Amino acid sequence: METNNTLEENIKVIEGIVEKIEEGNVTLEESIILYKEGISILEKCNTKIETIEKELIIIKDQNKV
Amino acid sequence: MNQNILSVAQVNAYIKKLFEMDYIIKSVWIQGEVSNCKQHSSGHVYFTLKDANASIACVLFKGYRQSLTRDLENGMKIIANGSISVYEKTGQYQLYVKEFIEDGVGLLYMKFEALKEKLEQLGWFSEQYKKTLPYYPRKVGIVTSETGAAIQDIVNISRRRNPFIQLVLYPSLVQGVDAKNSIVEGIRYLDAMPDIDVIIVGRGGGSIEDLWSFNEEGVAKAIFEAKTPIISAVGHETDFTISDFVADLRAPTPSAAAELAIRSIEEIQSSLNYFKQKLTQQIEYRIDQKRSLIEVYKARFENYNPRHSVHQTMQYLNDLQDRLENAVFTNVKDLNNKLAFLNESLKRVSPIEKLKDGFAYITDENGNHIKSVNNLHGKETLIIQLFDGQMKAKIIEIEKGGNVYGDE
Repeated sequence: METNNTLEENIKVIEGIVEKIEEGNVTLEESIILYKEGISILEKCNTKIETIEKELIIIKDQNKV
Repeated sequence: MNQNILSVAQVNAYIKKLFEMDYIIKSVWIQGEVSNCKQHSSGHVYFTLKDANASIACVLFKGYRQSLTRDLENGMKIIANGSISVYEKTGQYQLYVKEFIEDGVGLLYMKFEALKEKLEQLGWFSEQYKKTLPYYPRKVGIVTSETGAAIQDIVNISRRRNPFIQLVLYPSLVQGVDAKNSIVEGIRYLDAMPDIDVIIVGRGGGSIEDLWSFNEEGVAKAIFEAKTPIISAVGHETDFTISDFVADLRAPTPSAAAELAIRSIEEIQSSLNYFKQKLTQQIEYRIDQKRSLIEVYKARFENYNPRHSVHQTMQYLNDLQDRLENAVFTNVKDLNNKLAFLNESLKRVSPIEKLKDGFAYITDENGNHIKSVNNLHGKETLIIQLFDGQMKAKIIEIEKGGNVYGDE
């Protein structure tokens, strides 16, 4: 559900989850669901950082705009 | 000769009047080189401003001179501002200088200040328009020269910090008259690309003339209008340009711009790891907490375990048994003591003891105790019991009354 989020947005979501668990107003079951969600978003964050080295792109056709 | 004859003073006064009626020469900027510069003891400075073809006399009065930041020197190229009027005594017209700027650098500086003030008034430098840079840009656009040092620096820094970030260069001119348009096109081109997260606009160090394109209003406008966050990185740390003020962020150098735009991959990964750790810690903590809570309840609940009360009852029974045994033991001992005592007492009153003292126990043959002679008729056989045996005896004679031991 957070696949379209940017890395920052995802990190915000994770921060929110951590805070929610820290507050302690959630049941253990809920916190485990939150935990799983957090971990899965973290995984997504990691895959979002494409670790393929990029070459510099030089725009040649400058009449496109 | 019938015409009016005028005095020299009248002519000069008239010409002066003409000069003063002209609004153009009331305030003019004249560009030229300073020569014949003479400082009068009164504090006024007289000089000539000349260019290749002409010259004009100039005077700078003490009052204006004091408000200037530097003095005039021969050979200085200046642009002087003032009014042209006639010195009636000599009939010479001259420029009454109010202020001047040094040509070249000075002019550019003035233009810079003027544009800076204008854009500031428009609010283009205002914080409210500053866009925040993305935490993790994936595509970084760059507008600079393809051959300059700036792009090299940016590429190097970017590779080092995070080689997974895509850099897109729009090669532009960065100095000369066409640079302005080229930079504007570059900003607009990259801004129009859908996936550029941040744009770096800049060039390496140079003279103020070299960096001038970044002080052009057109460039400032393109930066201001761009939807993509823009980092301005022009020249060295000490160079400030209009682009720097209008951009979302000023970087002191192109290298610094790359540092600011591109977060290092280590930093990102360590922050992700931090969150992972924190999340795991939190959940483990919560589980531990619940677990120890369960332990507490378990311990408390244990009090109500029926096994617990059975144990207590059993222990009580054991206690009772012990008490019982003790009690019985004590009683038996008491009884034994009592018995021994009784035995002693009994011994003391026993007839056997009397027999030992020499008394006898006498019965008839049927075992009837004979205590008196009264009922005897003399023919009975008596059984005489002594302490160590018995004997049968015949009565020989009965005497009634008196002491057994007789006084006879």
